[in-house]
Amino acid sequence: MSAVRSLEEVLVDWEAVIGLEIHAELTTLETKMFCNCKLEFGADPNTHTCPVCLGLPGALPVPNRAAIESIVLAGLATNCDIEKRSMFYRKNYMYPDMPKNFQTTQGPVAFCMRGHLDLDVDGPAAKERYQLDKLAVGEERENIIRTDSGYKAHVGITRIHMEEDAGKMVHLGGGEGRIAGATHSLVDYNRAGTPLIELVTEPDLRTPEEARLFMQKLRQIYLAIGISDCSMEEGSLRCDGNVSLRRRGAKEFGTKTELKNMNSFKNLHDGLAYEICRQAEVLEEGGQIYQETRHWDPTQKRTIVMRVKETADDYRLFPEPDLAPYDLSDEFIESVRAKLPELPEQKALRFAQDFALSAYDARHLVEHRETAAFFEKCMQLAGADAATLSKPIANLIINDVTAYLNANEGVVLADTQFTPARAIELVRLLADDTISSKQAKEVFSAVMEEGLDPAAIVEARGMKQVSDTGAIEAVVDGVLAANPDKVEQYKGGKTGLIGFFVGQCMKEMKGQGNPKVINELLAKKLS
Amino acid sequence: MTEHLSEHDVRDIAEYVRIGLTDDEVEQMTVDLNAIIDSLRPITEYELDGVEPTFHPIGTLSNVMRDDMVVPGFSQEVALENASKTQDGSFLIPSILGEGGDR
Repeated sequence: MSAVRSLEEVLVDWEAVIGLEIHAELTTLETKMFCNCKLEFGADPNTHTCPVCLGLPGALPVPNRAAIESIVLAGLATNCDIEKRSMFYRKNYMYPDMPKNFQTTQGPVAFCMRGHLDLDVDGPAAKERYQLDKLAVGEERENIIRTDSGYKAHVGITRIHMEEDAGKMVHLGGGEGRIAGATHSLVDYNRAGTPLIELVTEPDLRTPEEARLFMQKLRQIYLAIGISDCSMEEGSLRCDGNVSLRRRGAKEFGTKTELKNMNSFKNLHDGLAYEICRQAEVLEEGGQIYQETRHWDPTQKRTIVMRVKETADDYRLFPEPDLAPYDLSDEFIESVRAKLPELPEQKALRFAQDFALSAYDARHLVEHRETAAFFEKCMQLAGADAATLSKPIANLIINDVTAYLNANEGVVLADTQFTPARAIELVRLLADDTISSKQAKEVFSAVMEEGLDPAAIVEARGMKQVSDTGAIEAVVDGVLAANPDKVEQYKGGKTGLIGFFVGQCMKEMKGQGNPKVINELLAKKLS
Repeated sequence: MTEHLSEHDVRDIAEYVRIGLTDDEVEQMTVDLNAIIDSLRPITEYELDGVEPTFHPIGTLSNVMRDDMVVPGFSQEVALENASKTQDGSFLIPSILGEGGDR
């Protein structure tokens, strides 16, 4: 089946109800959840195991204090209530990646309960829902607030609980490591027992774009508090989505499907978008949605059934008798709270206030810790000029630096020739009209390639901008004299010709004329 | 004897634990399991008014935690010692259809 209608069309008639389950491995810790085995991605198979993580009889687990601190930190950073009293449970199932035949997880009470994140949905991202909201008559969503450029969505977090990861299986004999058609499997228990925190959202998300933004925001928070490397590619950050549809205005939830294998932000968005369209098509044809687990296949751009849930799984959850319950003290919680760094959202707010930036620019600057730190360093160097240089520095980072890093995969800002000192020098050259903004782009590229200071590059290339009014006036006069017909047309009302005159002057001056001065002189002489 | 479990319950339990039972065995197992549950009846007859429920088998112990420090465990050879088949440092097992839990 192929989805024929676009997401935008489908969402006019249907409301999508989306909830996410997000697993993060606590990769920044040294050891596993319940034993002292080393955490290491990509080590030789089965070189980090012990009686506990291999599930050998009689082995006793002891929880890692740093893991408990990490989950409490995650809860504090996502506005959760920290439950002092909770405990671990056994979730029983038989599968070779879990040698104990049960996963240690939490029961009805998790360490973190009842949190939320507010999403800023604006720019193109708001389109998926903003316009649609106007279409949905009488359906004003309770969890959004309109803003100038889009809306703010309040997304509830049901809980974050502590658990452990399973081992890794490689399937042999089938195609491309898939389980279908496999004859044998290889099992590596290095990952078994890796501390894992699972965050479950309320079904508060309404579009694939909101789901993507939630995931991005959560990833930024986890990176800021340093609990995980959050690599979706390597699987240290994983996301499953629950999706159901209901007619616009309906109150009852529809039957949901669970979507797996959305291992990038793009796959998360596209997988959900596809599944919404698929469900709409089935329902509109009078069909039925089955509660099932589906697998997103990004190459085929479709979801396929992995497993039909005929009955609720019975994991025979019961309190883990080998692990003592928790009764966290205020001291413990406060000691964790003291480690809470400035979160991206707070940083963006501070940048906007202290450096007179738009909320949008500030948010983009804090998207990556590196660029945020770089910007901050620049502002320190700018000293008294921070307020005037903040906007050009922000532009430089958001546009040129980001484009450069995107084009050079794997390169981090610290590895490049671009330093905060050079950034400040570059925008100062721009601010005092030594170079034009076009020349600034050339200088930026040259800094990256040659590793020289911006001023030296400007000097060596003789690319200084000419701002001398006398020299420019001569050029302007020449251009006007050479185009008497265009001058007539301009005076007759075709003011758009100003661009033509500026272009001619720039050409005469080999791109080195100060466009501001040229514009001023042209305006004066043509009036 | 009270019927605590029906034959249907026993078939469900057998499926969970992957034990194949014949119809005769299901019948006999139902009788046996109900007898076992019956034998626990005295527990229900204790006077428990005012007794705090025990919500965890480990009495008053709580907040047991350890430091995040590496202690070397098994070598690969030792880890694989009990495996009937191995390949490339991994446990080699027959193919499994279906998937595990909801991690």
